[in-house]
Amino acid sequence: MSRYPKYSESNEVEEAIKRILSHKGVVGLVVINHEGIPIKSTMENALSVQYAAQVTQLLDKSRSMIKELDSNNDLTFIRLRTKKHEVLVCPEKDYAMIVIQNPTES
Amino acid sequence: MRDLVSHTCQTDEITSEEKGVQSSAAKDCEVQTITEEERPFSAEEFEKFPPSLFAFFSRVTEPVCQYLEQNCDPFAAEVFQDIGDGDSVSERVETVKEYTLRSDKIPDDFIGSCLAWSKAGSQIAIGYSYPHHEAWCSHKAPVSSWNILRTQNFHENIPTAEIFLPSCVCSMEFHPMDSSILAVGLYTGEVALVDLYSIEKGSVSGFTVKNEDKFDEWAQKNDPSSFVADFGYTSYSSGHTLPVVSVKWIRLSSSQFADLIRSGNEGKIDTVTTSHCCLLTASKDGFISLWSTNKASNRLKLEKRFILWADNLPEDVKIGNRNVSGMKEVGVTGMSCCKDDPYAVLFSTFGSYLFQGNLLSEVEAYEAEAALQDTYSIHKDTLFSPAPVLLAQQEGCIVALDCSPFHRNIFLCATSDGRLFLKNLLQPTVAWKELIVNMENKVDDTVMDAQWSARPMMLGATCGNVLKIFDLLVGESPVSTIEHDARITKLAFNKSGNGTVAVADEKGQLHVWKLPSKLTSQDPKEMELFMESIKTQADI
Repeated sequence: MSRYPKYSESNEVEEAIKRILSHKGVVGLVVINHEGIPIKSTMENALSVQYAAQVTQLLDKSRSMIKELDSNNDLTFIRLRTKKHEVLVCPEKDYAMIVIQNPTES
Repeated sequence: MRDLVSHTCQTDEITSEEKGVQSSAAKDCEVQTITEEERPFSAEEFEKFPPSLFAFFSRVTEPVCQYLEQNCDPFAAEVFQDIGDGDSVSERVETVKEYTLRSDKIPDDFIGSCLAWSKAGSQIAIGYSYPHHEAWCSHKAPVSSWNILRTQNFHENIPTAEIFLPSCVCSMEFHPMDSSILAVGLYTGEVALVDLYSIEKGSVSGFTVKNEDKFDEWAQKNDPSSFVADFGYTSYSSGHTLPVVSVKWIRLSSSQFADLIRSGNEGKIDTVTTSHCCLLTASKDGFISLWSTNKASNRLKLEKRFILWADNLPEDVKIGNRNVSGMKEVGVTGMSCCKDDPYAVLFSTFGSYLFQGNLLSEVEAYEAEAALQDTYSIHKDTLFSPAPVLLAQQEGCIVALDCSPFHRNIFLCATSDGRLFLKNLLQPTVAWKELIVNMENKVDDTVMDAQWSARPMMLGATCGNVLKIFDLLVGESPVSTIEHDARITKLAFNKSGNGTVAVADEKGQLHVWKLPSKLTSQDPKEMELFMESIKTQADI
């Protein structure tokens, strides 16, 4: 079976990105692969790479922390609230999605 | 003597024992039994066959959106929920002005007469016209276009592309597939195809045709297809004789195109015509013309002509004095194409009549041909009657006619007395909904234009200096009013869904507004409600 993305699928992906970006205050979105390399981003290149690198470390640390406490448990989502915005990370086996939101932005 | 002694002896029981030694020989052989799919990815393979991003997105999008929604400022959410009470929310939800565009080269006395967004929603074009014409128009009127997505070299006073045309601009529309091609209808009855890309690239030096005869002479000698490249537009003087009130592109499948053209060309279909985007133009001279374009969309070919002739109209249409004096052409004042049915057109005429026509009609208008043969030498080709079906006669003068982009039977019709009728083609005499635009009933606040938005139940109408946005989900009073400092002449919603609306005014300015997201984002159930609402009306 071919693993190449079909045209309609890549279209669906773009639609999903649009849908996420349409939410109030969404500053940007980065999708990273299992190696921490950004493969899709709506932000500047440099910033995407920075987010990707930092979030990969955070994911590794968080995962190991959860596993240490209970080996049957696993990490499913990170919501990181900061003074300026919130960073949402949705990790999966092959990819992770990072969304940066400034909920108070008018 | 011999003695014999016999002895016996017993030996131990014979036992047998078998002993074996096993020497084993083993050999390790590598055999691949794991299938390729199950093998873990190496870095190279990962690049070549990445795991499905689509599957990842379909799993992840929903929870992410859920959290994003939770995060929104609770106060803002309350404000948005207030929309349901039917009050005007213009004070509470911001409408942001994005641009005020006006080219420096536009003379002061020109007004914005028509607007067009490109289909992708990135370009906005405005056409200008002189406000009053007493006789022939010899104004050199411009068309200016801005690419609003361009951040570099964007100036509000310098258009991305601009061209001056030989007379005032009355109507225009962007090509549905090629956003650099703009079809323009002029006051003197010509139809021009403008190539904005070549103008922008500087290969066109802002040429204007001073003398139509010269143009014709030039076009005969040269290949007309090179005209766009040289001068930025092609124009055809044989199209109409009075202002072109509407230009519409219609997209056709190959078979639809063949059906449509066959009736006009007696089976001969031009093989050059490969692009099935046809141009439909309607004019105050009573003609509706169908044009095909060549592959590069830089040449128009007249394929079929329809005429609205008094004798071909239903009997209850009263044309009045013109009919008596033998002038039987009925001028078209507005036109709109139906969704889903490429052959059906709606048009309004002088006398505020609303008709539905069919482009497939093969009814020849013999009387018109005979009468016009004497009047104009140019009408040599077959004229057809568009098979007009009278839908209604309005009380006020019809200023806008627009078919809903979401339903094939629904259309809006605005009259100058400040009312907006939303009608169903199946019951055209009764309005499905009637909206009052000019509520204060001020004489100066005439309605100049009205249009459906990118949402099924939202529409906009101009009223004097004010743009009013109606949301039928909320109610029948405007949900937003946007004030301008001059009277508005045209409005155009960006149909690409980015929530902007453009407005042209009498000072020649082009205002681009960003509507609040609550107004522009479509409720998932909206389409359902829209259909239900239409059905309820039809049942009554």
